Formats: sequence, C-alpha cells, structure tokens
Amino acid sequence: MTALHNFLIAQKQANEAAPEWLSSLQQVAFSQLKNRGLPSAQDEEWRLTRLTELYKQEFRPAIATNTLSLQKTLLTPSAGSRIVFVNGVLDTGLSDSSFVAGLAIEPLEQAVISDKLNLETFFNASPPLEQHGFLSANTAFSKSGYVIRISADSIIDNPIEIIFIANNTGPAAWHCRNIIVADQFSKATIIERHVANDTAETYLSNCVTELHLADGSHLDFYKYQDESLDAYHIGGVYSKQSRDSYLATNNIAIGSKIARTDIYATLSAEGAHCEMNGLSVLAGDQHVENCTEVIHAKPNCTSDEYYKSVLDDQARSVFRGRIIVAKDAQKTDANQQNKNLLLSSRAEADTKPQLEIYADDVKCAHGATVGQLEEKSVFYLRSRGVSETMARALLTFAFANDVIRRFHLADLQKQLSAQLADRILGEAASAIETDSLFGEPL
Amino acid sequence: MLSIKNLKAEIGGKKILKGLSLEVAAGEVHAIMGPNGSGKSSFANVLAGHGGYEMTGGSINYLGKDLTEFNVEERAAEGLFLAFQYPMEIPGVSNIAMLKTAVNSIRKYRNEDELTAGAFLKVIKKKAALVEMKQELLKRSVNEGFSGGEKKRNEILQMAVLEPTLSVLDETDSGLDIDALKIVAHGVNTLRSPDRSMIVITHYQRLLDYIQPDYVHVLADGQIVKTGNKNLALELEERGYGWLEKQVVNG
Ligand SMILES: Nc1ncnc2c1ncn2[C@@H]1O[C@H](COP(=O)(O)OP(=O)(O)O)[C@@H](O)[C@H]1O
Ligand SMILES: [Mg+2]
Repeated sequence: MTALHNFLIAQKQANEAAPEWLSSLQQVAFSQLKNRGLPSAQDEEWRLTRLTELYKQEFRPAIATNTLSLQKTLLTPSAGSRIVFVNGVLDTGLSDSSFVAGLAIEPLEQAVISDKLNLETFFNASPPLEQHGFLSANTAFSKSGYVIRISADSIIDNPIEIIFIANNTGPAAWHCRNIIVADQFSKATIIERHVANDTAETYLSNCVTELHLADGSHLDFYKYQDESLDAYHIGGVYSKQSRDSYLATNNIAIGSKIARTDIYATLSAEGAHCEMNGLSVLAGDQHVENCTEVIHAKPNCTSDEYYKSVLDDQARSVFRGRIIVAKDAQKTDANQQNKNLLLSSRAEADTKPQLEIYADDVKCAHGATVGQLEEKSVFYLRSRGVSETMARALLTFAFANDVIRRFHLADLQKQLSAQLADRILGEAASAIETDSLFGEPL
Repeated sequence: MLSIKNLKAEIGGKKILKGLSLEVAAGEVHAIMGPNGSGKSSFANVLAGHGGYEMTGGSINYLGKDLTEFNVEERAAEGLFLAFQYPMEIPGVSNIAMLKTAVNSIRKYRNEDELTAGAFLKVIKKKAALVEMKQELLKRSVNEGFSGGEKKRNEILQMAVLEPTLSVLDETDSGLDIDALKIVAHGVNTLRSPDRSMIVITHYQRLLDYIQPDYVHVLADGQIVKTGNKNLALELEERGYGWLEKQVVNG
C-alpha cells in the first residue's frame, strides 16, 4: 500500500445528492481501486513511467490559497465561453459563460442532478472497460468537472475554453471528470488548459475527459498542459465516434514533472475520421508518457496520428501507439507517426507502436524515429549566414511547430507558435515573426 | 577574387579533391563541368565550409583573406553563396522567415542595422518577381512540397536576396524545363556585375547558352584537367568526358 493509495481510499466518496446510477458506478470504481490499487512498475503499461515519488507523497485535500486572476494565463482570444476550475473546484467568479444558442454548459455536480443532458447515457461510456487505478479513482471521486452538450445542427462559432488552475499549498489531489456530447451534425471547438499558479506546490491532477460524437458531428479538441515542475498530471481523453463524425484531439504537454495521458479513440461507425496530434517539449528531468489507442471497429474509417517530442537535458518521453483494426473494419486507412528529437545525450525517448490488424483490406502506415537535428539542414541554414546556434534553435522550433501548424484554430495556433518560439528561440524569436510582412499583399 | 592553389580535401578518409587550382577574377563567370562523382559538389561544399570535409592541403584565398579562417556562416556574411544541388526541406519554418533571419544575421555581422519589416518586404517583392515566385511559396515552409524546379528557383531567390559577391551554383539547371531554366538564368544574369563572380557547376552545355561563361573547366577525379572557353562545353557535349580522363591517365 502506498501513501497515495491510502489517502485515496480514506477519502469520503462523492456527494450524497448523486443519483442512484452514479452512486453505484462510483461504488464499483471505488472497490476496484481499493482491491487493485494504483498501477505499479510491474504493470507492462506503466513500467516506463515511474510514479514511486508520487506514491510517497502525503496528500491532503486541496485548499485554495491566495486569490487568483487569469492575467498570467494564456487565453484564446477567440474563445466565447470560459469555465475555470481552481484546484479542481469550479470558480464561478473567474468563469464567464453567457448564453449561446445550441450550447449547454453545466458543472458536473449540477449536471448529475438536473440531468437535462441525460448524463447517465454518457458517463463512463467511452473509457475502456478494463480501467487502471487512476481511472477508477477518477470515476469514484469525480465531484466536479464540466459537461458540454452541443445540440444537433448547431455550429458554435467561438471556441469554448476550460481552464484548470492549480493553486494549492501542501500536496493535494483532485479528480475532474468532463463530458462533451456533440449531437448530430453539430460543430464546436473546445480547449482545455491545465496551468498552475507560480506558488502552487506538488499536486496530482487526475483529469478525465470523455468525448461523445454523434453522426456527422465535428469536434476540434485541445488539451494544453503547461503546469509546474512539481505537477503530476495523469489524464485521459476517451472518445467514441459515430458515423461520419470528425474528431481532432490535439495534445500539448510542455510543463509538469510527470504527465501521463491516455488518448483513446473508438471509431464505432462507418465514415468516422479521427486526427490525433501531440507535442511535448521537455527539459530538466521532465517526463511525459502519451499512451494512444485507436480502435477501428467499423469499415471505411480513417485515423491520422502525429506525435512529436523535443527532449533536452535528461528529459524523457514515452509514446505508445496502439492501433486496432477489427475483423470487419475493411478499407480502414490508419496512419501513425511518432518523431522524437533529442537535444542532449542524456535525453531519452521510447516509442512503442503496436498494430493489431484483423481485417485484410486495410491501409496502415506507421513510422517512428528518435534522432538528432539533421546536420545537412544545419549546414544549409548556416550557409545562408544564420549562426550555428540560431540554425539549431530554428530547426528545433521547426520540428515542434510542425505539429502546431496542423491545428485548425488559427488564433490558438498563432499563440502557441509564438510561445514555442519564445521558449526555443528566446530573444531571437522576433526574427521569425513574419506576420507583419504579410499585412499588405505582395 | 578567388585564388585556389593545389586544394586537397577528403571526407571520411576518402580523398576527393586531389590538388585543385582555380583563379577567378572579379566579374568573371566560370563553368565547371565533369563526370558524376568527380568532386564538383564536394568542391562547392568545401568552399562553403562544410564540416564533413577535411582540407588536407593547399590554400583558398578570397578577397585577400584566407577563407578557411571563417566558419560557414561567416563565409556567407563575407559574401559567399552556395546554391545547393539538393536544397533541404525545412518543414515548420516559412521561406520568408528563413530569408529574414538570414538577411538580418548577415547585416548584423557587417554591423549594419536590421532591415525593418517594410524594407525587407520591398526587397522580397522585387526579388520574388525576378524569379517569378508566387507569394504562396514564400509563406510555405522552406522547400517543403516544392517541385524540383521550384526548389531551384528558391535557391536563386535566396541568392538574389543575399546579393553575394561570389556565387557557386551546383547543378542549378538539372531537372529544369526550358522555361524554368530561362527564369533561373535571368535571375543569375541580373546579378552579374563587374564586382561579382560566379562558379557555375553544370552537366549541360545548354545552361551556358543562357549564362555565358568566361571560362569552362573540366573537373575529373578531384582535379581541373582542362580549361577552355565556352567552345569547350560544346566539345564536351559532343565527345563526353572519356577522352579527357584518358589524357589524365596517360599524361
Ligand atoms: N559524405 C560522403 N562520404 C563519403 N564519400 C562521399 C561523401 N560525399 C561524397 N562522397 C564521394 O565523393 C565523390 C565526389 O562526390 P561529389 O562531390 O558529390 O561529386 P559530383 O558532384 O561531381 O557528382 C564521390 O565518389 C562520392 O561518392
Ligand atoms: Mg554533384
């Protein structure tokens, strides 16, 4: 028994106001957690992410410290509604969501009671049945989170932004559960930002988001995670897609001590398309594991996965990419690429593609690379007068920016590119700011 | 402008340049032809300062200075330009961002003020028109998804923007159709002036109809084995290189 496990099972379970269906679900999850415990280094799926230090922490329930403002947080300029959670608890003061036709947003605790959104159908319906300890803990303890439903045929123009801020003293843990339901032919963009206040101490954010996409719906989902070097982030994004739906999950992890995110997508009806983009830019002893799984359950679905990491110092990234093509999922077109750039000899990248293909008429491409900057490219830039340091920084930026430019949301893309340029190029970032050059047509 | 004496260079222990000598005066255009694998690209790379090559003998004097004292980027700032035989693709950095970085890096080296966005835009506008490059290609990542011809035109665009004193063009004409060839030649000819020189490496005499060289050299097995005027290019087109290589062996 680890300290964290003890702390978790000593927790009071979720609220009494919870409806029957939820209490029994949480009861089951709680006993799973109690009996099976948290993943250990013996678990094949977890052995590359060492959680020993996390497990030793003496956690306490979170208490918010000083008052917060959102000033220092990156915000998406085009965002319409904004919901803010501090230490996993809804902060109505910082949230700002006005009425938008076709869009329903409710905090989880309200949503389970009002049940306007028929939550029972969706809650816990997208994660795999075999759940690991953190997922069980999330189900058992999730009291807060957000629920978004986009009603049929509605197109939500402005992105919806959800911000999770850590602002705790003493080791604290929280478990948010978020549910997004995109009804038929709806279209929306949702951005989750996970950030930390400067004074936040060690914490565990165990955050699960479920995405349910009905026929013909379109969802562009971002998970941006830039917390603190004391942060442990264990997360999951589990999606289920119906016929002809389109989903992009964009996963940016640049700031935590350890982050492990499971991104699972099930293409459960014909014509569904799923895009998965991922970027980690890490230094020091940061560690990120992204565990992705795409299940092609039906014919004629496509998936396109593109994950990259940039690793400096002794940072480490682990990428697992499982693609399962079921027996009758003919004409599947699945692509998976994982590329890792090592900037230091002590950095390490593990990449584990895993293809299980049971259909015979499919196109499955995958590639994985771990390497350094191409010296030919460095030479090319230097031969144009660019200093070697700048050439390397520029190529590193380019390697990472390659993921960001796949994003569909223009202002977010621009903001993230600029942030990345700042981080990688420092003062020289302005050199590549070319936006102003295109103010007038050439 | 450029005086190379008995240049010897090797890569990975393999001797490539075996005593190459060449004099290029200001304003001159020199063509270098030669069979595949004779060391033409290696020569261009050694001039540009490629770290993979070890110079084992000889000297390179450029504008009165020992060129080998300068690293790659310093050579560029000193006015040397290499148009690559195989330009690199750099996904994630736009063509225009790279050009701006290059221009301002060189200006910094020369203690000149950085170009303002407006001034830079003016330059780019003019030079892009010169090589008939669309704005869309300027915004795209460096060479990514460019056709072979577009990549070569992009090299000439970079050359036109950087206005080098000594340009080395490594098979810029290879793989170009006649229209693209004319555009490239026009770009190159526009840059010709009494104080700029060029070394044009090519396989085909055809380019030399558009870029008239003052001298034509044949590089074979790491040495210049014959020098002539542009008629030599015509002769090579007819007879190939075999007779020259034999001369070397015999003589
Ligand atoms: N990186 C390298 N390592 C080893 N040999 C090389 C390398 N680059 C070129 N060479 C060799 O050097 C010789 C000259 O090549 P190159 O300069 O490309 O010739 P050219 O441009 O005239 O066709 C060839 O034999 C080639 O195989
Ligand atoms: Mg060559």
